[in-house]
Amino acid sequence: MGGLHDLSDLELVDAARSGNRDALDRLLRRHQPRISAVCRRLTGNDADGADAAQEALIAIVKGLHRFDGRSSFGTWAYRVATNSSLDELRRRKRRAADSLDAFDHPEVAVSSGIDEITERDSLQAALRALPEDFRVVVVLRDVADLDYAEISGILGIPTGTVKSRIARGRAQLAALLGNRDGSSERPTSGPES
Amino acid sequence: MTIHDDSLDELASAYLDNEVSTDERATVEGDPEILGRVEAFGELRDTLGASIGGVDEDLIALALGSFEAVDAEPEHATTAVGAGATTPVSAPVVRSLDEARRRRARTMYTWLGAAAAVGLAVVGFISLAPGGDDEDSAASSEREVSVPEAAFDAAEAPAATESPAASEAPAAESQVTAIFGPGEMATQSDTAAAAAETVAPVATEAAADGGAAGSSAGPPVISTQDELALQGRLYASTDGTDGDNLPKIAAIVCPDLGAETVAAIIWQGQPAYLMLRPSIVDAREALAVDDECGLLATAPLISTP
Repeated sequence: MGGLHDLSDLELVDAARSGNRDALDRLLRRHQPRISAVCRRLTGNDADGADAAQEALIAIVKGLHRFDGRSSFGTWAYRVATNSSLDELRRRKRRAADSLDAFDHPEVAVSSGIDEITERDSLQAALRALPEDFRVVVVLRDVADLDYAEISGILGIPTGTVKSRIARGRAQLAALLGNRDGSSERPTSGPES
Repeated sequence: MTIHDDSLDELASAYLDNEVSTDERATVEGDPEILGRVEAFGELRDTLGASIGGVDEDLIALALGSFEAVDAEPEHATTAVGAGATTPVSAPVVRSLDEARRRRARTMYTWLGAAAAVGLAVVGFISLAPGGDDEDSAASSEREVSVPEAAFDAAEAPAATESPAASEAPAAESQVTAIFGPGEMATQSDTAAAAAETVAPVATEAAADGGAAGSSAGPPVISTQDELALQGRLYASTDGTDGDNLPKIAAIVCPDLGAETVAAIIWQGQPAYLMLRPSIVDAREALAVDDECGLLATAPLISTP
């Protein structure tokens, strides 16, 4: 199995498609930590992030035969992870609507912004406070380490929109965390069209 | 201030990501204020990037387990469209997720009966349709409904027909005509909004009844993106409740699409699935997808200004 370390993602994908379980194991180990981080940051909490990551990895394994190589495996995998995370968020909203228990559903309660950020993981809370469209691009850029073009491809939006959303997302995040001088009055409006 | 700040933020952010032109780079490097923003954004990026943990052995093992399950099963689990088809969706995905997914899995079986009843709906549809002689060619071409035999074996439906969407009718009325079951044809002059209210019970009853004999509604017959969007809106309300009151199915799993299957439809004459994709861009989308996960059409549900 040692030789697998030297294989590219595409080579591992090909091997896995041929039934090589070790190749798949190597491929998953290469990407799972970052996929889990993306899911956790997109969903805004560890539990939902774990669910989303689990769903994403299973979807990746099950959908491997449909990966066509037009993008890198990583980009494709993060697309799946992003969709799984947003699915998880949507399910969480449904559960919130059912229970009306806002404490368990930060998406409902975070609109008041910086005052809410009293949790131990203030970064996580700040991320939850971002509009979803901003949060997605910031996480794909700063956690998944994708470039603007890759993010554009995943989300189906122009690179100019990616660029502006990342900037606005970062600015809001910085303001929420209070780590930017003289900018605490920044607007917290939603994304542009 | 906002516009100015946004502009500076964008410049600082792009500089951090090495996505600036030579001129922009010079601008940033000559402006201490922008450089300050670059530094703040850089700290954020470092903090976010540092959140990546180690390999989760349990997660890897679970994923590998699903690989073995894939090996032992067909390529991807679909529910065959046709009488008597009972192939369930692949177990690992359904079992491992939350109650919403399990609920969809349960309701999947009700769809099977609804598919068997679709033939009856089409026969009724044809019987109520006016002659198509005076339809303009573009409209009739767009609305041609080819009915695959696999879907309608039980009902012995014809292979093809034309829907009655009159060329003079406004778009909203056409939508009503196309997606209504035969029992609702009389309301075709309603607006699209009224259509949404009226169609929801039709879809609900069709699945809830499990296509029991005598049911007048089958999968909606959809021919255009407007109709696709209208049907999608029935399942995905804009307030985040996602049409939870409507039955959903889990008849097909398409991880590439990142969409959730919510209904069986007839898309331009072929059995297909209506899927909804969550909002990752400006609009939530409805998707028409074939049983091989092939994307047939998309239609945005909500356009933000």
